[in-house]
Amino acid sequence: MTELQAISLFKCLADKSRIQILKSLMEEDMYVERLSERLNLTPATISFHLKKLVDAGAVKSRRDQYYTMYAINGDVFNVSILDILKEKSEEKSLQDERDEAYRKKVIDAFFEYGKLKSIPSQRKKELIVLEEIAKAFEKGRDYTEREVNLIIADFNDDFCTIRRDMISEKILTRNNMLYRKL
Amino acid sequence: MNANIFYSFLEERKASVLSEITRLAQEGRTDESNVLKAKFNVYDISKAVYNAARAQSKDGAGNAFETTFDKITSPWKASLEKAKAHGDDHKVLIEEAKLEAAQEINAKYAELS
Repeated sequence: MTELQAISLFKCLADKSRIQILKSLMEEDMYVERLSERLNLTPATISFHLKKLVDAGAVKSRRDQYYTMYAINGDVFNVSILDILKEKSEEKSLQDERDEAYRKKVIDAFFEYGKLKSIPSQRKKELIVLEEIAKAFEKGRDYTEREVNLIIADFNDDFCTIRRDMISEKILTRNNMLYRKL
Repeated sequence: MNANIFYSFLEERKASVLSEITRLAQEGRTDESNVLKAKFNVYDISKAVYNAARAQSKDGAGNAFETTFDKITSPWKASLEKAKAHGDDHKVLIEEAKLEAAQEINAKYAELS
């Protein structure tokens, strides 16, 4: 189910009459007049709601002699909401692009020729800066505190603050005086 | 014809439809509630037509109301048939609601005349 289909389905379901129609169809397939009598709504009102339900994919219709029969579309309701949320969003790539552009802007503002000019006061920006510095560390390798200090000092003299912040932001871990990139 | 009785009728119907609009909205039947808003407006339209008809004639609105009101509501009938022919269920509901109000108003007007 695409994001647009999910939105259309959720909007469609946000109506008591349509929920009542679906509940009736859960019991058995029905035609307009039968639903109309059962729910005490005019046939025109039932047709209107059924059209919306069919368009949203919640209900299927078929010709049965003189009547059009309506039935629940089980496939749609067997999908869990979590599965819908896990679907890759059409917006995702655009969001990623925007995030990357923001990241680049922060790095350009705080780094000059590979040196960190100052530690950002905003946490969001500092995190980007710390992640940039962390690129100098190899993953899975243990570093002594002196090695860590030397690597950070290549970026900025305040290696103590940066080292501490990298630990608190869980970019580095410290265990038995050894540091490791997460 | 007693204009006040006609006005009271229109106000009563407006209040009744408004309460139905509110009830449907509270029950989460938004689409049906919105359709009734079209019906609600018809009472105001008829009141304006009636006032205009009364202003034209010294001895009450007479046939002027029926003629003008019919001119306004006739296209709704045509619109309903067109909507039915094209399977436009939403339009069908709106036109039916408007025509229902028009029918009530015409009946009351005939009764009072």
